[in-house]
Amino acid sequence: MQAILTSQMIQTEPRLSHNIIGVRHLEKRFGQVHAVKDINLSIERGQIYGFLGPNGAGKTTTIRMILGLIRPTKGEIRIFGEALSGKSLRRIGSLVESPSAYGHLTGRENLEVIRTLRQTPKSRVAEVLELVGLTDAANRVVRNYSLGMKGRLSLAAALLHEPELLILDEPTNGLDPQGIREIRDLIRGLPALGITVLVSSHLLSEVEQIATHLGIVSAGKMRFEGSLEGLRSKHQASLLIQVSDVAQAIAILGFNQIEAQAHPMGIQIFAMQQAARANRLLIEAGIEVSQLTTHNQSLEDLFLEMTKEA
Amino acid sequence: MLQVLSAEIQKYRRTSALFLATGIPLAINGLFLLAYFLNENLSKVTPEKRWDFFLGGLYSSWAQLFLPLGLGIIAALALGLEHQENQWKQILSLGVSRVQIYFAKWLAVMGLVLLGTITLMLGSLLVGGITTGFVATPWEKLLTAPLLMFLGSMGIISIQVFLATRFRAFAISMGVALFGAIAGGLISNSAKYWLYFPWTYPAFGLPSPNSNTAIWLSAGFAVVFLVVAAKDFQQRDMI
Repeated sequence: MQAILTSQMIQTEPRLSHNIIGVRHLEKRFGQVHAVKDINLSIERGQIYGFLGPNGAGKTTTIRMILGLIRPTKGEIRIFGEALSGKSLRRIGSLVESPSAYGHLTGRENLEVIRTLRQTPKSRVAEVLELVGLTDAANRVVRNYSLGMKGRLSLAAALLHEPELLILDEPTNGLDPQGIREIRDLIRGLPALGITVLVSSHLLSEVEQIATHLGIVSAGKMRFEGSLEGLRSKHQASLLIQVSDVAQAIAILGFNQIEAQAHPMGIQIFAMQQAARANRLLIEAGIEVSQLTTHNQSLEDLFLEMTKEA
Repeated sequence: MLQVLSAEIQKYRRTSALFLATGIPLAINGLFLLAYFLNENLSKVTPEKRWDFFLGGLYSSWAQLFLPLGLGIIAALALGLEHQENQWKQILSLGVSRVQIYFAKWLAVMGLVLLGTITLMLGSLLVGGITTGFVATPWEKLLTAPLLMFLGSMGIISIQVFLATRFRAFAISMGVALFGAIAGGLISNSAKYWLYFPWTYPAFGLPSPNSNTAIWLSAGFAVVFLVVAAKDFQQRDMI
């Protein structure tokens, strides 16, 4: 089943030159550990791209490679149609893993450090503080901020230079429900400001609410890439049939061009229009059919199935 | 480069690195002032001898112990700003040249050690002045000796900045600084081998026939180590 999904869903070669981010056959080894095996990403302007996968799937390693923090072992990364460089990085805002800031400086002083490095106008500091709702806390030392406030400050730093692309690695980690909602609302509004967003998460429910496009990764490999609608269309209804002899039932149906596979309940077929015929064929072959059930696969089932270790 | 340096300087507000850079030399001067008041014999010798006693003790302890240890602490604290709270990842993903970031950090530590040197200079003038009534003040020695020791320390600044960048653990920087200070004290007794051990250069940088050699070796060592370390920093995976 997983093989069917994978071959059907993964796009072929990404069109690197037209993408905001184009990643092809990316690999990263740390000694004997093969953290990223084969990642392909195609992110176009204006998308909110959810980069989804369980913990340890290779999302953060991929993001670090896109941001030039680590070097790929193999593969190609193109940002804004060009090879990764300091010039392309200056058009990106990012928040990698946990929020980061100098604890002994105030929120405003932290942004001043980044503003100096980015060489952006002084007025931007007040604007981004307002955008993330930290104006009142701007002169407080960051050591005394809550985790949610640190997250918003990091987001303000990432937005300071009006980036064309924002890369957020698990931005809601450790936030309370109110903080999560605030970050979610903020991300939703970014494409209207001309900002393309890549946001990683291990929670389908979180990404589902904001993303327009999805990339699903597991064990260092891409399992799906496409629109959310594309993923939803893969909700496959199937028929579960409880039979007396699973192997024989699969063989008989296969001989009659009905694809079937073993299932804990018996056998599973996806050609729903063939339900009556399948039933008849099995009975005619002397196989006892004790139950027929329609099974609707949820988006979550699909995600879990895709991200099962290969 | 200037904006990278300017951003680097902004980070040191309210830091313990800045506090220690001025605090360590002031504390040492304070200890020598205390020693003067506790030793009644010192008030009976001539001002020239008082200056000699004071500056001799101050400079040898500074060159062999407090400077190598202090700059090790300062480098570890300066780089600790980036190691904590995920800062390296934020700074290095801004698209600013890694070489410039490393060079700015190296200059900042240099600047902090120079600040300590100037504090030592002013503190010793004040303490010496208090104990002698500013009689027979050795102006030239007061102005040049701290700077010569600073120039002699450039090589070990490069080593400590590299270690503090490469390793998050404070203990590694401090272990090397402590070992360097102790071994430097022992090796400086050798007329042959002191040349090969950068921790001896601050003491040999003090006015003596070896002063120029020590300072050129220190500067050469600093530049070579800076280039090699910056290259390593440029190519390293930031995990």
